[in-house]
This record gives sequence, C-alpha cells and structure tokens, in this order.
Amino acid sequence: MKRFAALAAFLLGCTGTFASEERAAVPSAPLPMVAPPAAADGCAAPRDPGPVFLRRLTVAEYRRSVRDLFGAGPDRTGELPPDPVIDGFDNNAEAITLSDAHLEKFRDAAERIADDLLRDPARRAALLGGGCDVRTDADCLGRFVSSVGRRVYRRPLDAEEQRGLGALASGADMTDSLDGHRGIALVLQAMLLSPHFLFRVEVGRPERAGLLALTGFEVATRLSYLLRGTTPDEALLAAAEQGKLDGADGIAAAAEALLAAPAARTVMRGFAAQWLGFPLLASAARDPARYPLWNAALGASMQEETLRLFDDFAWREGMLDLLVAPYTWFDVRLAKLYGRPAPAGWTRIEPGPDEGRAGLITQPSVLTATAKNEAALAIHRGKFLREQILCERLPPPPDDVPQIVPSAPGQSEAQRLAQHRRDPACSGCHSRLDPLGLGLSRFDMIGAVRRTDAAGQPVTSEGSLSGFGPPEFDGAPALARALRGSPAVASCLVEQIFRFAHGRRPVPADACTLASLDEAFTRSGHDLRAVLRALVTSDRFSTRRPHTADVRPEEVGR
Amino acid sequence: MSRRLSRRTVLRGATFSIALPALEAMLERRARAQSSPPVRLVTFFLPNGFPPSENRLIPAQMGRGYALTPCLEPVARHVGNFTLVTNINGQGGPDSHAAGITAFATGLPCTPTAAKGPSLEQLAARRRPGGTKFPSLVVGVQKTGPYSSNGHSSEVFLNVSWQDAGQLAPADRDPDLLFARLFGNGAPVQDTRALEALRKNRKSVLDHVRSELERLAPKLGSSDRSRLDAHLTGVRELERRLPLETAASACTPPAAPGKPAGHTAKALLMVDLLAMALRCNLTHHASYMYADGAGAGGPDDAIGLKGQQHEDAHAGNLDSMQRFTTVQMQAVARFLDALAGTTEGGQTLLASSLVMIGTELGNGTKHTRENLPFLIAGNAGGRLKTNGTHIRPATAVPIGRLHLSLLKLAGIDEPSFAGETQPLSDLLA
Repeated sequence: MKRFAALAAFLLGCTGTFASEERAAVPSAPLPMVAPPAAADGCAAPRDPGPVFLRRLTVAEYRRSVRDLFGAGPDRTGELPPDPVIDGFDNNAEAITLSDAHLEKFRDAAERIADDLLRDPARRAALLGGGCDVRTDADCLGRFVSSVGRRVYRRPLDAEEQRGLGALASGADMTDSLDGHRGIALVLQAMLLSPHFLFRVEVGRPERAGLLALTGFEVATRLSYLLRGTTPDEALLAAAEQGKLDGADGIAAAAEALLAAPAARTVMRGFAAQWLGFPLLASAARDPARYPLWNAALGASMQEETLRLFDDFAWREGMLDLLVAPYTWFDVRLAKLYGRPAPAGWTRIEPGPDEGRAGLITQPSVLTATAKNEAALAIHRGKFLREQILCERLPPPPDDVPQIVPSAPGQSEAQRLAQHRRDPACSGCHSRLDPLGLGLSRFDMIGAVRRTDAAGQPVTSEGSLSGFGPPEFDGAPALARALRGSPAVASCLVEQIFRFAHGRRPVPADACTLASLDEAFTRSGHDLRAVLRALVTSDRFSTRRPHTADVRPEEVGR
Repeated sequence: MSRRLSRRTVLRGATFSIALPALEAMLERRARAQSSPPVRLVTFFLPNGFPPSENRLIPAQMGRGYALTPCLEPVARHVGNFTLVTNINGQGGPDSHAAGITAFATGLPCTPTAAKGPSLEQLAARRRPGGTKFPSLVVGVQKTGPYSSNGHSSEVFLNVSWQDAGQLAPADRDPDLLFARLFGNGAPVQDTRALEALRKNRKSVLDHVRSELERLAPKLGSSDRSRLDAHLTGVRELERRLPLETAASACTPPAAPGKPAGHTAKALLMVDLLAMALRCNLTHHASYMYADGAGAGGPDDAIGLKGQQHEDAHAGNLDSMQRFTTVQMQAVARFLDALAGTTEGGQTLLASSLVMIGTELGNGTKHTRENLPFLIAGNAGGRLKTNGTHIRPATAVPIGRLHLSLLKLAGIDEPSFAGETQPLSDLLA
C-alpha cells in the first residue's frame, strides 16, 4: 500500500512544477493513481479478484502452442502482427487486439499450418494415429476430432462442437485434395481460428460470495501459460479432468511440479528479458566508427550473460542480491568488452574494482538497451531505473518543450544536464531522472568502461536517489547498494511479476493482492518462487468477478 | 477509356523499381463500366514535424503562385496537384508524439494504449467496402520495436491506422510479405475449379467459427464480449471478401521486390508497392507511415544522410531537420509520380485520388501541435479545386475538420469526424 502513496506523492511533485510555471499543457496524463485500500481490513477475504481482460494468445504463445500441439514444423507466425509492448511486456491483454487484418493473418497462418501438417507423411501419421482411417470411418473421424479438440481447446469438446467439427470434415470440397484429408485440414483450420483457441476463454461456474470459480481446465490453462508459456500438456489436462485443480491443495501441488520443471526457468528468462528491455538490443544501432565491437551477435551475448546471472539468483533466496552480484558471465564475444582473454565457453568472472561494476544495472545488456543518445545517457538510464526498477510512472514531457541548448565548449555532460535542469520547465522530471542515471555515467553506449564523456570531458558519476539535494552516491556500485536496500525495489519487482502474470497493469482493486505478494517475497528472503507460489495459490488465481461485473469503466485505458 | 499503365511511371532516380503490371482486358471492361472512378483515399505520414520556421516548408505567401520552399522542392513538379493547408491544430499530450500521430490518423488524442476512434481511411473503408480485394492497405516502413515510453503502448507511436477506438489496423512492414499478400506467389491461379473449392471450404470454416462465437458470447461478460465482437466482425469481413479474394487477379503480377539497403530505399520500395496496389485496383483506401516520430529518422549511410532527426529537432538544428524532411518528401514525390503516371477512364489516377500528407508536430523542436501543414494531393475526381494554392485559415482549425473535409471530398457524407461537424469551406469551394 505504501507503493501507491509514494507514487502519488512523486507524481504530484513532478507535475506540480509544471503547474507552477502556469503551463496550459500540464500533462493531464491518465497516470495510474492507484489509491490505497480504504482500510487495512479492506484486505479480508473474499477479495475482489480484480478485472480480467479476455486474453488473446500472444504471437509467442500461439507459436509455442502450435509447436506443442502438432510438433515441430515450419514457423507460420512470421506474418502475424507483432503484439503491442507496454511497460516492456508483450502480453498486455487490454492492448492486444484482434482486428480484421489480424484475423486475415491468423486465417492464413491456420491454413498453412494445417497444410504443412497434412502434406508431411510423418507428421500426418503422428497426428492421425494408426488403426483406422479418418477418411472413410466416421467413428475414426469422431475420435480424432474429440482428441485433437480436447488439446486445442484445452478442455473436452461439447456435443455440439463435436458434431459441428465432424460435419465440417465430412462436408469438405475435396477438389484440392490432400490425399483425401482436406476435411481434416478444415477441422484444424477452424480450431486454430476458434475463440476457444485464440482466446483464453473463462466461462467459470458460480461460486460463493458472488464470485465465479474457474473450472479445472481454465485453471490448467492459466497455470500452463504462466509457468510453461504454452498450452497445457497431458499431465495438466488429466489433473483437470480428475478434479485435482478444483481446490487450493491440488493447484499448489501442480504449481510445485511446474516450478521444478525447466520450462518455468525459460518462461522467467522471458520475463526478465522483457522487464529489462532486451528486445531493444536486437534493433540497437551504433556508429561503427565509434563502436567497432558492436553487432547483433554481441547484443545476443549480452542478453545471455544477464539471463545466466538471473538464473543464478532468481531461483533461491536472496534474489535481490542480483543487484550487487560480485561476478558475471562472459563468452568469447564479450571478452573484448571486458578487456579479458577470450574464454573457451561461458565463464564466470569477477570484474576488477577499477571497472566500477556491480550487478544487474552495470550489465552491458542493460547499459546498452538503455542507451539511446550518447549525450543523454543519464536521462534514459535514469528513466529506466525509475520506471522498470522502481515502478515510478513519469508523466510525459510537456507539449511545449524548451529547445535543448547545445553544450558550451569545455562543458561536461553532467554540467550540461545540470544547466538543463535549471530550466523550471525541465526540473520537475529531470531532477528525478538525471541524478539517478548519472550513477551509470562511467559506461558507454555498449556498456564498456569509459573515462571521458561525449563532450570529451572527464566522466563524473555522482548522483542521488531522491533526485534532490547533495550527492548521495558516487558511482554504480554505491547506486546498486542503495537500490538493493530500497523496499521500493522489492515491491517493484513484485509488481512487474504481477503485470507479466496477469497480462495487465495493477488497478486499485489489486492493492491487497500486491500487498500479500510483497509479504510472501519478503518472508521468503526474496525468493522468486515464493511470489509465483503466492500468485497461483491466491484466491484470485482460481476465481474471477461474475460476468455481469467483469471490468469497471475506470479500470479501462489506464 | 482504358487504364493505361504508362512506362513513365518507372520512377526516376529509383533505387528500386518494379516492373509494371501488364494491361489486362478485364480491367478495361471494368473501367468502361464505371462512369466515374471511386476516389482513392490515402493518408501519408512523415515523422517528427517539419522545420518550424517560415520558408523552410511553409511559404510566406498565400494563394496561388507562392514561392516554393526548400522542403517542397522535391514535389515542385506537383505543385499544381496539391493544396497546401496550414494553421491546422493537432492534439497535444500526454505524449506529444503519440497524441500527434494518433491525431493525424483519427483527429483525436490517444489513451495510453490505443486510439479513441477510427482513422480517416479506415472509416472510409468501412463506409465504402467496395469491390476491391482489400478494403484497405496499411503500409509501414519501420519494423515495430518494443518502444513503450511514458507509460504508453508501442502501438500509439508506431501506427497511423486504427480500425476503430481501441482497435489497431496493423501495418504490413515487410516488402516481401506485402508483395506476397498483394500478388500471391506471382503465378496467376487459372484453375477456377480449385478456386471454387477454396472459396467453399473457407466459407465452411468461417461459418463454423461464427457459430462458435455466437454460442459463446451469451456466456460471457460485456468486456469479454467486446473482444468476441471484434473476432466476429473479422469473421464476417472475411466472409464478405471471399468472392473478392479468390477472384482471378486483374493484374499480371509485377516482379518480386529486391532487398532495399537502408531506410530510405525501403521507404521508396514500400511506396512503389502501395502505388502498384492502387493501380491494380486492389484497394481504394490506404495509409503509409514513413517512420514514427521519436524513434526513427536516423542516419542512412546508403544515401549519405547524417544526424538524428528527433534529437536534432530538439536541439533546434533546422538544417538537419530540413535535410530529413527533404529526403522524406522524395517519397511523396515518387508516390504522386506513380499516381500521375497511371490513367483510367480518361484521367490520371492522381486526379481520382485524395492524399493527405502531413506530420504529427507543428514545431518539431518544441514538440507543439499548433500550425501543422498538410499537403492535400489529387483532385478527388474533380471535387478538389484549390490545387496550386496555399490555404491558411485566419484562425487555427482543429485537425478533425480537415479530416471531415476530406471525407466530403471523397464523396462520403459523414455528419461528423472526431467530434467535428464543420468541414473547411476553403477546401470545398
């Protein structure tokens, strides 16, 4: 609950400066002013499970689901429109849409996937099984529809669906024959275009206190996409069928098995990559004259370095020590950047004290992904730390921004930023951004150590966390230690996991849930698994608001 | 009275050119059957504001015969084919790029995640679904990036087409994929029996999906249902288009595009593909986005373009801004050349088109929304009579009124757009 109060205070401070300048265009941003719950006992059960926006599979989820349903084949998802990115994440259910153009492309993908599958004799045999012929034997066709339907729809088909899909197969025009399997292709196309596949449909069943309980199959789907990143496997479907996911104990047991499996690590690597903005590495451009080391392969190594470090820290107590990790990983590509002889494979190294590195925020991946402009490194890095590490939402710049004054000869980057901040139109937000980002000034656009800044002046790295007053730290290690000790950082990590898991930003109705996740994280000594366990075993994971009150108007468009 | 695909339209100075589609008898028949060709409505977005001071883009004089400014040089040969409209107000904040880009498209600012209404060409496409293979084409040059800033979704920075409020119309951004979508694998399908089977099978699949949606919707709440509605709308649209998309093509497909080197070359290639689609009558509505405002406009080694458009604009580097805008105006010129070089029904395709060319910021340095200039190109089938002039309304005009005027000029009688009910009388004169 503190998180919301702090955020509100900060936002007032930031916009207040603009207001005092009598600017007509004060950012009237729809900021996430999440109010604290009315009272502490507002958190008593049963809790409001919060809104659910019907979740369409992301392109990545669609790709993995198709792979797991039908086995490896040509990837037909390249033409699907990329999903929107919000707060770094590509799975925001409210922002993901299904326009006419999307549907055309999903239709094309479904046709190609079905044709690929039925044209390849080995894959076709694996799909259809042996013993009977779907082309001539109606019972055989019925069994096929029923078994594939259960996997694609993530639940057994009802009689009407079974009948309709069977009729679709037998009514197919066989002119364009797939050796007589055109009907099967149509069944697969219809399933892949169905709302029961493209969306994570939750009809639920009425439960106590006016809430809906999700069915076991719906819970299996939530668990699977959260902890496996893909469609439920046979084990989860069987557990749902046997009623094992109808109660908290069964869900906890299933979650435990999923958390112990390698897929959970892969999914959470994906979380970390999006949280830290690594997709930006693929499109980062660097002046080759100035950064001859830079190329896309180096960017990929940077990402792998950090994800290895994330793996080391996320799956045990003390996850926040990632922020002050005394070592890192490097490979042959990163060797030059670190000024070391090339290792044979991925190897642990401890940076020397003169490098000024300490943990996550000094990883070349983070330093590169946050570097947009050589002369404004501190601004963008400060923004990253505020938004992604501290979960503060900054109002956008005002409509009428002052022209940036070119630096005077002999003026350092830090001095130029300080001059910029003296403009009252800029100081409100830049006082929050620059002094934080200045802590990372000793690293260049690809995260290598630098001694001089873009203006050719010696680099300074004094800054402050609060953004005001005298310097509170000098250099990245001191900044990292300050962040490691900040309760806001722990709460923020929990909030980021919430966004990733629920596919949306928190709203006021989520305050209690977030508080309980914070508590679980703290109590476990900062173990990621404790947050995930608390998330999936909380009431909200297996219930939702009744369909008559699914989303409130004020919960939309935040 | 035939549509002529003139060889003149293989464009000058092109890094890439596409062989022109051959004239087909079927197309001639269609052209003869139409008394007046439909107005093609295209929005054409250039990023990050034009150089703000007068005489960089906006000329000092009004009316006819204004002195050409440096940023208009690339379109000098088309001065008689467009009307320059200035003193248009866009929409500001909360993020000036996102709001400006969305206002260019919809006349309205955006929410953090989406537009608040349909974009101009998408609304027109809905009002005139027409007999084309594609109700609209949405063409982007940049690949999307994970560019979320200031709490906004990447979509509001990277798109100028919205099917409706909250509903993106995603862009085709890959030349090879766009080519394949427009012209298939290049080989015209002759087997009418196979086409008929494809149509019939597609229809049964869509029928089945529709029946599932209709059964499911009553079981869910209003928020879920609105997403299912979007799905159902898409299914119905695919059903409507079935006979169109499986009809034999009227155009012999041009040769497949090559691999462009650099952003400028890719931008020109996408212009070529869009122009080709319009010539082949594959659509009557389109948008084109040269780049997004804040993220793009970097140096392009392939043409020796230096600097960063966005950063240089913030720093007030007018010369750099002018260089970027001038390069981008060459894409406009190429597009207008292509339309002007095609004739149908005795007039050029440009004469029966209406192209809105503009940007999201009035002043790229200060990121303000005031005094946006627009080039309104084409004659809208003779309805636009002000070409060759610079119109500057005495008081600033909200952008929605410009949109509404364009709808009227395209022959679409819409009572309002973006809440605006008064078209610009100067343009409708």
